[in-house]
Amino acid sequence: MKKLLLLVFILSISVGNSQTEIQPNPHKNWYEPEDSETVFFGLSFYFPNGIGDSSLGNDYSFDAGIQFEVNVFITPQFVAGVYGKWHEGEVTNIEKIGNISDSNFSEYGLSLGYYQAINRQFNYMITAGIGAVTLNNTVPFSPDSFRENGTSYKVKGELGYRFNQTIAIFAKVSPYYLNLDIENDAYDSYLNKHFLIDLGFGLRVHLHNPNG
Amino acid sequence: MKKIYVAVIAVLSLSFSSCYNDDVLITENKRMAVYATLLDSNNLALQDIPVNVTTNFSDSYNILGASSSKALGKVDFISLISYNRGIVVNFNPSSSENHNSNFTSLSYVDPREIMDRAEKLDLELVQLGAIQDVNISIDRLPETDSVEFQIQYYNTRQFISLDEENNPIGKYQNTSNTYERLDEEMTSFQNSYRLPVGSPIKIFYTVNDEAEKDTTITVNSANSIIDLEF
Repeated sequence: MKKLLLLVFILSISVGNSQTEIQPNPHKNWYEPEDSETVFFGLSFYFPNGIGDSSLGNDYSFDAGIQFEVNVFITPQFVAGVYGKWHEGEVTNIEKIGNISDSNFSEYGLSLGYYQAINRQFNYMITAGIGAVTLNNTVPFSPDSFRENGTSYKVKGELGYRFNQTIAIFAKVSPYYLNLDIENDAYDSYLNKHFLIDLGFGLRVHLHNPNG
Repeated sequence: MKKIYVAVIAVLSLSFSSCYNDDVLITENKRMAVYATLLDSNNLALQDIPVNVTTNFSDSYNILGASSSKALGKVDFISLISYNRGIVVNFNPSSSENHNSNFTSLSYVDPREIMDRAEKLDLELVQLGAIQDVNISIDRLPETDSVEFQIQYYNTRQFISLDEENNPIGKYQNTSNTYERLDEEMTSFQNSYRLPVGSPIKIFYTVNDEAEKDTTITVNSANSIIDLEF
């Protein structure tokens, strides 16, 4: 019995050792074959554009915005991420939206994406995301802004260029549908259903697992 | 103990101050669509007449929405609404840089401070009257010792209540008066007015402190000068 226990113990140790010695197969998406990609942070500037016949498309002039995101590789090709983005828009015509001078847009959301290296330097990523949007509207005579909320459904395409294992830059295009919840039957579509597109560029920082 | 007392006072002060807020508070996630067809007194469509929505009788403060009449006199715009103020829809407001001084101003008033204001306000046909310059002269005859008179006339800005049953517009809000007395010191009166065409000018007068009488003259393009003697 003691011999049997000793044998099981020795086998378990040897199996354990053999498992730790197995090296994962390098994936094409990995910049260094020995370091799997695990997470990257993105900071980007973007320019929002309204592309539909809606209040955001017709009655606003948007400033450049900023977006921060974190993406984690679930597999070597698929990523899950969280993001936050912020921009401001000045109202150019109050006739169809009311006397708002400007609005601050903030959005927080989740995304799932597909990351593919074209070669060692170039890569692309396609993501789909959903976000909660808040508009802080400023009224000229009312010191307290009032808020309105909505949901954003988006896709995003990014083309990246890696300088090294850690630093990359990227350009992006992100069309999205923003659905607000402003009550007005007569102008429901005009006030609530918006198609927009963000064009931007940014910087990525890739981090890796210690020891690959 | 003193610190606790001060803290209690501070908390109570903040509590009471938060109960009363003088700021205009905008209703979130809601808008009001305003519709009308704007005509003159001859039923001809009026184009490019400014329209706005304010929170009170002033047509220049707290503008919630603004537009102007389009072809065929159509008015169709969106306004914010406030849940701690009423609404006043002003046609041809005098404060607007596009105010047309040839026509009257008309304001529809709903002073109710309500949360569930309707999303749509259709005023259908709205008529603005033309404005006429009228010079009124009143002279005291040599045989008259004194004349006291009151000239009552309609303003160039008129108010109509959207909730007439509960919040009626008093006549005093749509009319103005001039009071004067002619005697040995002041033998004549003369003044010029801008008055809505078709509106009555009512003159109440008392000669030599006798019983009051009155006469009414309707403003039209033919009577830009009114001369009276008592």
